[in-house]
Amino acid sequence: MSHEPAGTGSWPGLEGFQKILGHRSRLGICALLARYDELSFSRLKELLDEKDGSLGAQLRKLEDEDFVTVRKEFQDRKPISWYQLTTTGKQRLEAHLAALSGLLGKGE
Amino acid sequence: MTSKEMDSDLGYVQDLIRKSDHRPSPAIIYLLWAVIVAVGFTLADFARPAVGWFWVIASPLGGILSGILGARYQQRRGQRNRELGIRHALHWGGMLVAIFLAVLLVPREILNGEDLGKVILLLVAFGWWSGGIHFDRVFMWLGGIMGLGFLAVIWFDRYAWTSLGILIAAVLVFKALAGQRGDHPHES
Repeated sequence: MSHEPAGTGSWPGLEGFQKILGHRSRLGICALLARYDELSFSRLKELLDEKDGSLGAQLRKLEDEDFVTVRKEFQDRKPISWYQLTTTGKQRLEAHLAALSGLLGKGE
Repeated sequence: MTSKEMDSDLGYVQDLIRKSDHRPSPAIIYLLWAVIVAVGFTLADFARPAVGWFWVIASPLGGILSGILGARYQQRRGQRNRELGIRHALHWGGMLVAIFLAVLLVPREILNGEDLGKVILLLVAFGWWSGGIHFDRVFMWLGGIMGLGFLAVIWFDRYAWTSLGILIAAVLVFKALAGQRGDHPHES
């Protein structure tokens, strides 16, 4: 896993850039959740190829920053956690991806 | 963060999306339509009076069943995408409406029953072809085969429908089996 900048919010001088999405797994989680209404914990784990503990920690950080919400459900007596991107999370992800593309477009 | 790292992150996201899109439908849906198509097309050569009734019942029923099976598959897989479900319903539902409207050409005596079958085949060929553009590439192949099949049924009288039905069913069965076996994320 790559680069983990400290703290949250935008980087100074880089409008739209979200520090929390500087971590590749968190960026991946948000991008996937932007495509689907909801994804379960186990599906995220399978797609991201992460361990339970590591994925849980990244999801908690995203929850704390109001990027994602979690909903618990029982299916065949088994608990399932469904994750969803919040409106704020979606806006901040879009801003982050636009900043990334913009910087790459400039050949930075 | 360097531009190389940013580029790598964007590539990583694209790969994840591709991986999540892989195998969008369960094998059972392809098998269901393989049976429906094989029976329905064969009836056109061997029991022509039953063809209309078969399709009036089998096509909406198959569509509803496909929707239920697809939704259950996505649920079991751990992903929910309401927008994709709506797009499927609009696409395949729109095709069904076009077919039922085409049926009106018969009581208005613009077409006879036999020619209606050929017109419907063309509509379905287009519907499956465009389904391939939006959902699963295999439908482009099947739409193309149906387009060629349309030419076959207007030129050849004997067993053209049966041959076409068996060919389409074989492709659907192959797709169902390949989907079960293969797990390559870039396959459509």
